[in-house]
Amino acid sequence: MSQNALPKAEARTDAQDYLTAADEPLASLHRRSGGTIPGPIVTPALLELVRKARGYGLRLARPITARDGDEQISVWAEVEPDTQGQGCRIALSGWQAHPVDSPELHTDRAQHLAVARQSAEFSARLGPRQEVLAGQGTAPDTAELEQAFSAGVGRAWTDFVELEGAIHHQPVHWRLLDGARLRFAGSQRDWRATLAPLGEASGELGGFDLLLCPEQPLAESAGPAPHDRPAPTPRSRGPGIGRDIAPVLRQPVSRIIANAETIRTRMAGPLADEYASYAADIANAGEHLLALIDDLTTLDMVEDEDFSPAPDHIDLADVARRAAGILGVRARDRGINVDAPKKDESAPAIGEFRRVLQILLNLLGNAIRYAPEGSCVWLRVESEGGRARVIVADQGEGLDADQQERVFRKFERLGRSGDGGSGLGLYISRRLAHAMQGSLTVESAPGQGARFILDLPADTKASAD
Amino acid sequence: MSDEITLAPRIDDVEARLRERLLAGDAVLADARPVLRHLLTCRDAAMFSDEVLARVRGAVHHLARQLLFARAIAGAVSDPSEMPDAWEADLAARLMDDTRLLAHLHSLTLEAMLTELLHQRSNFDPVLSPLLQELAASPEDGVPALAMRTVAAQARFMQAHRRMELPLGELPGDLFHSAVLAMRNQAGDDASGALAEAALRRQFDEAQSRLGLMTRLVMWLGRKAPRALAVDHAGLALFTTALAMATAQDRGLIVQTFGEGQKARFALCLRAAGLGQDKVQQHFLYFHPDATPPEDLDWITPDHASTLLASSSLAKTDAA
Repeated sequence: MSQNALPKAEARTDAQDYLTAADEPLASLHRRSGGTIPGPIVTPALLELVRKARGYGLRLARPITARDGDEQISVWAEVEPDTQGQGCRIALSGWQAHPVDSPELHTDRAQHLAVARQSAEFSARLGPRQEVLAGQGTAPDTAELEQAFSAGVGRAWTDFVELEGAIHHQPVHWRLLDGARLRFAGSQRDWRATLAPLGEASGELGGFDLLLCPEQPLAESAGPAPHDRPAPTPRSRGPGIGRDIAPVLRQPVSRIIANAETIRTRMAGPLADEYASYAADIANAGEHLLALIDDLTTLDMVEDEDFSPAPDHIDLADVARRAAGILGVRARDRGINVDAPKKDESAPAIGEFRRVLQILLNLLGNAIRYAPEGSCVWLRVESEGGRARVIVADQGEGLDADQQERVFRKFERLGRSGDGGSGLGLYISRRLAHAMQGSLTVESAPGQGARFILDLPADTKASAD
Repeated sequence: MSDEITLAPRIDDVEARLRERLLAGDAVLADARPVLRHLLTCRDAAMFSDEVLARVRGAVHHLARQLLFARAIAGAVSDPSEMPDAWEADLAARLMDDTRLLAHLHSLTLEAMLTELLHQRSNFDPVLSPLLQELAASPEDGVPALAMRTVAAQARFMQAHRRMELPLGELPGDLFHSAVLAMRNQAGDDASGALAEAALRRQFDEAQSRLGLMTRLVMWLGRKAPRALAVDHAGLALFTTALAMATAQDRGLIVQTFGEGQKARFALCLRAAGLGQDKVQQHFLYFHPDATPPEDLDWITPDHASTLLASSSLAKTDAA
């Protein structure tokens, strides 16, 4: 708002309410708005006031507002009619010009934000002090930054990137960082930051959306160009290994396995034992890769917001018996006795058969893999209070409270390695359980074994029957 | 026969007079039910209390007296005190035909009563608010004089309220115009009517009325002057004007918004003027100490609040 120190501006009108004389700044405003002197008044509010004052024969005084280019003019107008009604004397004072809350300006910003949201290949949610809360990338070269963010929750986001032009004093006001160019580890590209403050309207800053848009498209060799895929949804994850890479990978990996098996079994001719055993290693590694691809495909699927299993009437006892049957050979190989539910037991539940089986295979597979040789794994079912449960209990080392908390996280291996696990099984299983309105929990204590409990809505109708 | 001839017009005469009274009675009965229903169901008892009605009636009669006094000076009667009482009652009735005038007087009465209530309850000075003191000491050219004239006008307003009066010059131009016309119509061909009208119109200066001064002062502060949008700082009168200007609503409607049954409108008005949840809560404490203010108001943007207000039927009829 600027206060104009001009003295009272005067103007005169005639019997037709034409402006016959005007001081500045009214004269300029009048001409800028397309008026002439003498000529009709072009400011609607002023015209109405003059008409009224002349018609009533009254001295009137009202605030007048008018648009002047990109400014809103407000002025106090006193209109005094001549005694003969031949015209009016206008006195204007307190001339003020406010910059208009330009809708174009807001639209520009909104458009910029919309474009940034659309083209961002890394987005993060920051707290009010620009501290990292969460971050997600959609391009392969953002994986490292994504990890850094998830490890550095609570720290300033600027700690993880190199800002162009040294900005030493942290934290920097967000407006200075909005539009800043930057680079970060893991990416060869230049990026531009966009910061969108949240909760600005309330006057209290709720945090920021941080959007990082690359200045160059990703080089062909570095991975699939992100533009070939549909616009990333906020929850869409990573490089899309499951959807995009898995089908491409599966075929060559299968061929590697098949050929390795051919060599191992000496189908193409005699071979030294050492080479046969190398071939067995190749086949095993291939099997592991294939399992990993399957896991990543499932991961993509369960993390898709649209993912919803097809619920059906199933019997958890039946599913548990099938899982025990499928993994029976592996269990016997390790000398582990799997105690499945008896033939007459049943626990009707609502869920998708395939998914529940997948969860049980994962739980049972883990138990067989990590329980000591010669131990026992129990599969138990129970129904109560509208819920049906299947429990996988082992006699392994058990998990302490910290491990129990971490065990369901993505890529969590609890320090294990080299045993063919991807660290995705329990994460996926829990996502599947949630998607079926169920839960997957663990009860355990070190040295006491572990009990993994899959809890699903009971099929109350079937249990009543 | 001669008896009948003289009798006939008398019977007609009596009949006509009876018919006239019957019609008047009909009108009273026709109005009675909706009025009774409104009084019984109106949640805001303060809006139409006996005191409010008496004060509005008092103000109308005072306006009528001032108009007749102007006529008396213009030569209708030699001694103004000898003006027939019936004239005043008749002119008051004519003025009451203008519902806009009644609404204005009603709002002013409610404003003055609320000013006194806030004085008792929260110790707000009815005349000299902190903001007016500040402005009176302002170094800006002309502002202290304007502020002091506003203080004087506010003091006169409160004084007139206590006396159940309203100076003619305090009416907005449009209402003044129609009040003068009512006086002219009553005067008919009497020359004093025209003379009085010319004199009254000459004297009228909207810029010097309390509402004109307040508007000008708020304008000087800037359209959304936050300092005037705090009732504890600006005082009720300036606050009302500032709120009306910030939300582009009629000032009288803003006064009605302070009433018991209008809490949602009140909250929306404050929001439309750009006040946040904490400020809205603070104002609810002053205006409705017993009520809980609407929560999560921050979710509604000021623009959206304005749109909501504009969509109310009252705003539409006002605009029309």
